[in-house]
Amino acid sequence: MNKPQQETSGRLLALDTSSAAQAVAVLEQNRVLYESNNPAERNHSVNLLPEIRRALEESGTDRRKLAGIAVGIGPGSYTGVRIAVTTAKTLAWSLNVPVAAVSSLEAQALTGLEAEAPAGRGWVVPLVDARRGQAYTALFAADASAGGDAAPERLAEDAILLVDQWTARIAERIRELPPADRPAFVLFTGETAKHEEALRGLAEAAGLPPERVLLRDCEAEGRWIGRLGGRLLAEGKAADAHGLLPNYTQVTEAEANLLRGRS
Amino acid sequence: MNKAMQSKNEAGAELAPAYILAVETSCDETSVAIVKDGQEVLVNLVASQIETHKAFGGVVPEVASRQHVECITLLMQQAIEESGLAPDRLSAIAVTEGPGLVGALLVGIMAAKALAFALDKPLIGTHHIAGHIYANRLIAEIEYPAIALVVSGGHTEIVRMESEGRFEVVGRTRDDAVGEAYDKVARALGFPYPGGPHVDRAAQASETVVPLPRVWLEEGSYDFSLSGLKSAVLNLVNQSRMKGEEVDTGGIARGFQESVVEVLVGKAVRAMRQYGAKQLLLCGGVAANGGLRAELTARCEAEDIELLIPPMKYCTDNAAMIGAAAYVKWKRGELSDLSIKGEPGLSLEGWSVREQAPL
Ligand SMILES: [Zn+2]
Repeated sequence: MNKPQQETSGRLLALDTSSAAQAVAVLEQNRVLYESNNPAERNHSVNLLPEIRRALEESGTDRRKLAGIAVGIGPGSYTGVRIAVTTAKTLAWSLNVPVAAVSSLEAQALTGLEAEAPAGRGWVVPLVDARRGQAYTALFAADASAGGDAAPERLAEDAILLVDQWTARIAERIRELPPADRPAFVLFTGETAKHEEALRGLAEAAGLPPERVLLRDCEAEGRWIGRLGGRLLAEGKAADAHGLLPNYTQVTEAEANLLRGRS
Repeated sequence: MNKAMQSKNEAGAELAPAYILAVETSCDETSVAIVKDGQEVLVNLVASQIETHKAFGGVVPEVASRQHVECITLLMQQAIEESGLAPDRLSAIAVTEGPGLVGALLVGIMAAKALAFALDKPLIGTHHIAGHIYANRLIAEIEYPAIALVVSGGHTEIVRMESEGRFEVVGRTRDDAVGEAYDKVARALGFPYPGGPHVDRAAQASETVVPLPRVWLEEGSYDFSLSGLKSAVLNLVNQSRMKGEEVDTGGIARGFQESVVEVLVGKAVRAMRQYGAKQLLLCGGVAANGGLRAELTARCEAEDIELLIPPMKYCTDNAAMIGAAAYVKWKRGELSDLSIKGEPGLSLEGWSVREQAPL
């Protein structure tokens, strides 16, 4: 499967199954040719390949001429993330096309930012619930008016954190900034409902007016997986297909117990 | 092409050779194989996680699933390279659909579906136990009707096969699988995971034997029950410990093994007679058990029964056996679509090929 790269369509296939929604899109540059974001909890494994086939057919894209594949590598549901990642790495290897590993949280942050469209440059905090008061989360500075070209600046890596401790740290970071440099808004995206109290509490802790703390429920959507992946590929940051893995952000419980037992 | 080498379908028409790339990830082995015509193994790669799971004292599903993702495409690439076939020459992609650990199955299934889609090849979702049974076809032609004795970590079954690809489960365990009972007994006797081979070795080396009951169940039943025997072993060990006596590890192992083997062999041989079967097929990981192989071989010789036992590499979980089983479906054009998913409780009988219309 090391045939020389043929001429490509310049088109990108984007996938994400890290959340309850299954996101599939086909993009050419930043232009969306096909997109579906379907709630398909626990059915990603059934629907993903048929949906990929539909996406390519409806956008008139030959799978052998794809310019690349963009895949959300989580963090999120372990089983869910493995579905898209395994599919993407197998397609990338067997079709001999480059693959980009996209943070599902970053795509989710941009999905929420686009939907909320707040004015000015602010902070976006994506959340995916991870039970026991925890969430998979990260921190970005971004400007909604940049639209599809939005290049968020990452201020914190994807991690699993206790939500109340995480919001306290964000509040501290804001207070440390000179008033002129403080974010115009703090937008929490994703699974915000479970943590609403802690998130709303940020305004007081950070000394921000309550109306500048925003909550937007959403899931990572395909076009943002595609746009972020397209940018990575343009920057020459393709992942190795065989080495492509989910970003679990933590070792398994069994391994953690074993490590604890040994120390 | 040498026409004599080509296989024929039922109507006698000549078929081009079928090269099936098979994937197996139902538990803790990641395996990819390429099998020609369900019989000839071109390549069979197995990445075992046994060393990882030893540290946990058993298979941890999440750890297994993570490791499958790490090596699945590397194994697929290596298998194709070693086979010397161009990917276009593959006839179909087969994958274990169940039973097994659902998260582990999913990795193989997604990889197989993506490969089938990328290469535009048919997909064949395959039953894991049918795989264990058809491992026998990698060494000899199966003659029907046949009886399969399936013994593994998760399964203990007597399967009757009236014709190719048709399965009827005539007996199954009502509680623990043989491999499971061995592992639990091994733990009680202080052997490390996986304990089955330790119990087997201790049993064969022991001069003493602690008598344990044989569980035959109702008259005529082909079912098994192993939990009572396992509990009897645990009681013996606990009693010895409470009395401060040394546990007769070898004697208990031998008593346990003799009880298990006598019932397995007895029921398998009875099924052979009742159903007028031509061959007895031993399959599954516990086929490695020396005590079982020896007793079954001796009984079959004495009773003039033709016994097939695949070599060990095809008894433990592997993809070559999946390629062998998938071939019986491929031959009949019974294919899967891209919406298959992991089926932890997939029925073996339900996976049978469709009944042939009478001629
Ligand atoms: Zn097995």
